[in-house]
Amino acid sequence: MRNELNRVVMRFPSKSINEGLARSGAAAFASQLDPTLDELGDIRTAVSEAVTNAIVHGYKDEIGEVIMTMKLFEGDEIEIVISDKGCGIPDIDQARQPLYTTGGAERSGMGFTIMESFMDSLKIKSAEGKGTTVTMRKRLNTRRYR
Amino acid sequence: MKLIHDMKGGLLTVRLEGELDHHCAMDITARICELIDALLPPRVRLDCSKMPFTDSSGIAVVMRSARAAQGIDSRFTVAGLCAQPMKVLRAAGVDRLVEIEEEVHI
Repeated sequence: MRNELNRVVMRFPSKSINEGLARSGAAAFASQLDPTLDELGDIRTAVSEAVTNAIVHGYKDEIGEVIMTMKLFEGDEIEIVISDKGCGIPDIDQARQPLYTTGGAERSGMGFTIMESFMDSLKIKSAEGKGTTVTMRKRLNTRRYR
Repeated sequence: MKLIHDMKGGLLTVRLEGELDHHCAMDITARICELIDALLPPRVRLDCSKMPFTDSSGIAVVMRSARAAQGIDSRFTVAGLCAQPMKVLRAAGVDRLVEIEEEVHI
C-alpha cells in the first residue's frame, strides 16, 4: 500500500440536492494534483454516480447518512470511498450489468458501468440490510510530469 | 438547472443550462415531454451547449425525450454537447441511437 498523503471525509444526508455538493467536494480535493479538465470530469462523474446510488437505492425509503472519504496517495493516486448504511445490494454482479436498474424511469442503469470506465478501479462491498461501500481509484497524469 | 424553450418554424429548441443530475432529471424530462406533447413540433433540438456536466441521469433524459419525439414522428437531435456530457453519452452508446449535432445552428 502506498503512503497516504492527505485525507478528507464528508458526511451528508442522502438528499439529492447534495449530489452537486459531493461532486464539488471531490473536485476540490482532486485539484491539489492539478488534474486536467478531462480527469476532473471523470472524477466528478464517478462520484455523482456513486452518491446517487446511495441516495436512490441505498436509502430508497428514508434519509440516511452518506460518507465520502477521499484519500491522496504517493504516486498521484486518488481514492474515493462512498458508503451508506442503507438496504444493500442483493446481487452485485447483476447490479453491475449495463442497463440494469431497480430505480425509476429517471435512471438509466449505467451508473456502475460509468464508474468503471471513468475510474481505474471500482470495488463494491455490500450486505443486505447493512449497506454498501464503493471504492474507486484513479491515478492522475499530473501536469508537473507533462 | 434552467430549461429555456423556443418554437420557431416547426423547430422546438430546448436549451438546458447548468449541471444535469438525478436531482433535477425527473423534472427536466417531464417538462421536455410536456412541451413536445403540447406543441407537437416536427423537429426537436435539445441544446446542451450551456450544460457543462451530466452523469448517467442525462442518458435517461435524452432517451425519454427522444422517445417522446418519436411518438409524434418528430425528428430529435442533441446539439452543442460539451466534452464531459459527450463522453457520458458515448459511454452508453447514446450517440448510436440519437442524432448528435456538433454545433448549435440558430
